[in-house]
Amino acid sequence: MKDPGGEVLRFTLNERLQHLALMICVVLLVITGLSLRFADTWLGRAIISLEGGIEARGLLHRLGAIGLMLLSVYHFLYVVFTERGHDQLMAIRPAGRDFRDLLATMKMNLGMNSAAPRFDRFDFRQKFQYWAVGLGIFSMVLTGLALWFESPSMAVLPKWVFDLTQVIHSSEGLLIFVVLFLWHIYDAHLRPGVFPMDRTWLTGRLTRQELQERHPREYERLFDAEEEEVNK
Amino acid sequence: MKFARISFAAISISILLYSAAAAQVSGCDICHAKPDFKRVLKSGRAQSLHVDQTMIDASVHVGKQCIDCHVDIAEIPHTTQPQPVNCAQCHYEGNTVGAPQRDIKQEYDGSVHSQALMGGNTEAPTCQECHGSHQILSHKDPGSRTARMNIPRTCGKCHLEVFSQYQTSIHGIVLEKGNEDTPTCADCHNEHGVRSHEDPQSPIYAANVAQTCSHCHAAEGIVGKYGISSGQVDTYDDSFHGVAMRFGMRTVANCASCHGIHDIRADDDPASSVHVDNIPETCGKCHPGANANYAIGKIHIEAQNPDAGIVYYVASFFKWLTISTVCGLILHIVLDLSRQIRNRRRGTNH
Repeated sequence: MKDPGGEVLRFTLNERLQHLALMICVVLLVITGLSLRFADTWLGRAIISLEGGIEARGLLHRLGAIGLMLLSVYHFLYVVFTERGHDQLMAIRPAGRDFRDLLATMKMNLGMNSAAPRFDRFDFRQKFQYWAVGLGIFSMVLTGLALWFESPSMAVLPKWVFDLTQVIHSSEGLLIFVVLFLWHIYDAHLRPGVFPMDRTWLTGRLTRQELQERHPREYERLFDAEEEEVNK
Repeated sequence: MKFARISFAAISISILLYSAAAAQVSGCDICHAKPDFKRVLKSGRAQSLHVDQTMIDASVHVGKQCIDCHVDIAEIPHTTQPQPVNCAQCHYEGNTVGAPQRDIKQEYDGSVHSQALMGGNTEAPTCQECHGSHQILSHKDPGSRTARMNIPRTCGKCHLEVFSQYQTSIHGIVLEKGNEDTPTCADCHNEHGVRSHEDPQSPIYAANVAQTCSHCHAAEGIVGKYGISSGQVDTYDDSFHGVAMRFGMRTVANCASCHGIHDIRADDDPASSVHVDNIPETCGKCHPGANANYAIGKIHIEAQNPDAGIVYYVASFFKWLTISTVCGLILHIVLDLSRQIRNRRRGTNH
């Protein structure tokens, strides 16, 4: 989507609000979840007492879960039934070139090749992050619901499967935290060029120059046709 | 004035005579040595008032005079019924008469027994009910009422139903066989400070149960001898029940919720609450709809221990996945940063 001010709208207000809701839910879930996982450490104990005790912690965690589940349903409907959403889904679906882009980036980072891969609207890291988040939410919601309604789920699942559910939910929570903290925070905040923060999540916009640098193929699709038209 | 002097002398002399008499009360045996010396109670029953000197000589109080304990007797024959002996007149910390240096009275004062007594229950036990009166023996003496082997019987005089439950429990059965490692009443309930299970200071208060059981069940030197795992308390602490209990939830299970209290049995005993066939009923006390699925898999597991089987392997997988993800992401950051720095030096933006 082009913008007369020389900027390009990458994310609509609706999409930015979805991201904001996701951020709030995930931060709440990570804090209330990991404090239970590390309940035996001073930090875990301190955070649990800040959360208002073990029962309030559980309540907050389930509130975050309800928010996340509602958001997931909304997002699913959005990408399936709205034109814009479906357009975004098509743009972020994995393709063979993502794997080649990954290899090219690795070569470049290792100094073997200086030609940067030319990304489309979403680069392979963004696509991976999107689908990893999707898969993460799916499995966390599934295991989380089993733990939430423990009596009926233990009646359906053998004891050892229930134990696995608990281990997976807890370990995956930690993994998600690590990925968010080391990858997403670096990508969106600390990376040279975006520090202190990539403001796209708030404004939804990139300048034409940024778009040309980071997503050249998307840039060409949007502007080359325009330039051709102007040149005619 | 003269009158005052005379009365002062008279009072002094009578006090002197009185205390001399008190110190010299002797000859209790004139009556109490007679085997058939007794009185008739209001209920019509006869109570023997015979005191066997050989019993006292064999007890820890050998050498004590009657009036050392029965301090309210100042003359014989005494005209009033002697008051119950107050053991605390000697048994306090700092006493100089050689009684054990421990403030047992204070421990007893906080107990349910003392509270019942203060509440007017004349059946409530004082020292004598458990220790005896004229025949008190050291708890190290196998014949003592407070000897390890005899404690359940002593408590059972009043707590008959609990005693019979205990006798059928694994703890009671092995005690009967002469095992001194097995807990008796006092190991879980305290000796003198027996408190209600609703008292947060009690060793059997819900939040303290795991700690109480851990005295033996986390001690390899005790339970290890019998092939019982000493890790059960740790696995409980690690479980949701244990964590929630530590953080103040009182509705979650403690050891006794599943294993029973006085009727604890080995898990291979079909009557045990944790026997595989009884798990649905036991878990069902809190988890409605509990069924046989609750028993498929080990109950006490620790994800960090290979004994946990697949749970251990999945937990280890996640551990290494997380560690390698951290390493990979740090490597990614380092590579990405160094490329950007290289590019900046070259003056390009990519």
